[in-house]
Amino acid sequence: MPQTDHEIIATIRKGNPHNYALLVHRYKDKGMTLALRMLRNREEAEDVLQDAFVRAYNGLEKFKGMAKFGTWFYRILYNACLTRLERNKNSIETLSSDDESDESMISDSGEPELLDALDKKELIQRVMEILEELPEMYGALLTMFYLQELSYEEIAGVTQMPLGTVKVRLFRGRAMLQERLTKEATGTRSAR
Amino acid sequence: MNHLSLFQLQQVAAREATPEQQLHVESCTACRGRIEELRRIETVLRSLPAERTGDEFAEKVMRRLGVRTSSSFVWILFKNLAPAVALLLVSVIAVVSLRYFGAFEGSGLDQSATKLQSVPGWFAGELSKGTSQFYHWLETYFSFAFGRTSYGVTAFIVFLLAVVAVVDKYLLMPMMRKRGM
Repeated sequence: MPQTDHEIIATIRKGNPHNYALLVHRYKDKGMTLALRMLRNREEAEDVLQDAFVRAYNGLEKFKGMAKFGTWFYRILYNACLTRLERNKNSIETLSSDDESDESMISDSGEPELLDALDKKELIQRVMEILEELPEMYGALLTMFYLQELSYEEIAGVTQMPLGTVKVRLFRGRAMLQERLTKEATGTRSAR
Repeated sequence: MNHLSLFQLQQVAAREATPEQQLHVESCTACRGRIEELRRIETVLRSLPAERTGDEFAEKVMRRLGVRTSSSFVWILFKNLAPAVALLLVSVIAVVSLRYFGAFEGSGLDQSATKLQSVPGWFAGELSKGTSQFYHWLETYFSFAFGRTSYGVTAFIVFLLAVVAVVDKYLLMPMMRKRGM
């Protein structure tokens, strides 16, 4: 039985197309998370995810195996989500290209250990909620980095952004997350 | 030195700090606290569960592709038996041709060939015997299907199809999927 993505792809090329189901099973949930963070609608996310799997299958011949299948697939999915967002006229947040040095938008104040006001369960719940509230771009990047465990370079390949931009946007995403959590924790603590 | 900016704190949290930043962190409780906070958030981010898609998702994709998620059992059986069937066919053609051109005459092989010819007859007899026994078994346990009424026959066919469907869905297909066929 094929184990790695490349082995599965080799069997598909040898005439066992039903083995593609193994790849679908392997990437469907992480793919769904990315699509949902970008589109924020379960039905749409599932629809786009299906499209991405179909496109990936039809383009398997073009997949040379230089990169991981996952990275290649996420790129197809990410582009499909962007196309859907454009079609919905919900264009994702555009950032200027010289934003690498811009840190001013993130508040730099806050007391340490404020997050202790939230217990672990509350923290996980709130992080998930805030991720859904963040601009699509940040949600997508944080998902790729932490859930899909892509490196900065791989994320740059998926999103076609310069490496520096990926780093800065990840920084901003984390900072926004931390700021919102800290604000809430302050509120929670003062209410107690 | 002032407290580190959020960007610098993230650099330290990611273990990409400059020696200056590192030195500051070692002496600043407030910055150390914020770095701990950042690491805690990162731990939470890493532990978040992935969204679940429905169990039918993969099948939907495969249906759109026009590909079965698993080959049918009959096809797998046929595929594996194909070389044996081909060999048998070639052998039969060869023997028939040699007999036709009299290659076996007076060689003793002719006798063997005659014996060989009786094998299909014996096989057909055994098959007929087995079929009769199976028919008798069906008549005993599924008597309603032999009542010469259309209801009985229909019920029997429906029952048979249901058994095949259940076996295929819950036994054969999962087995094939597990083996990645």
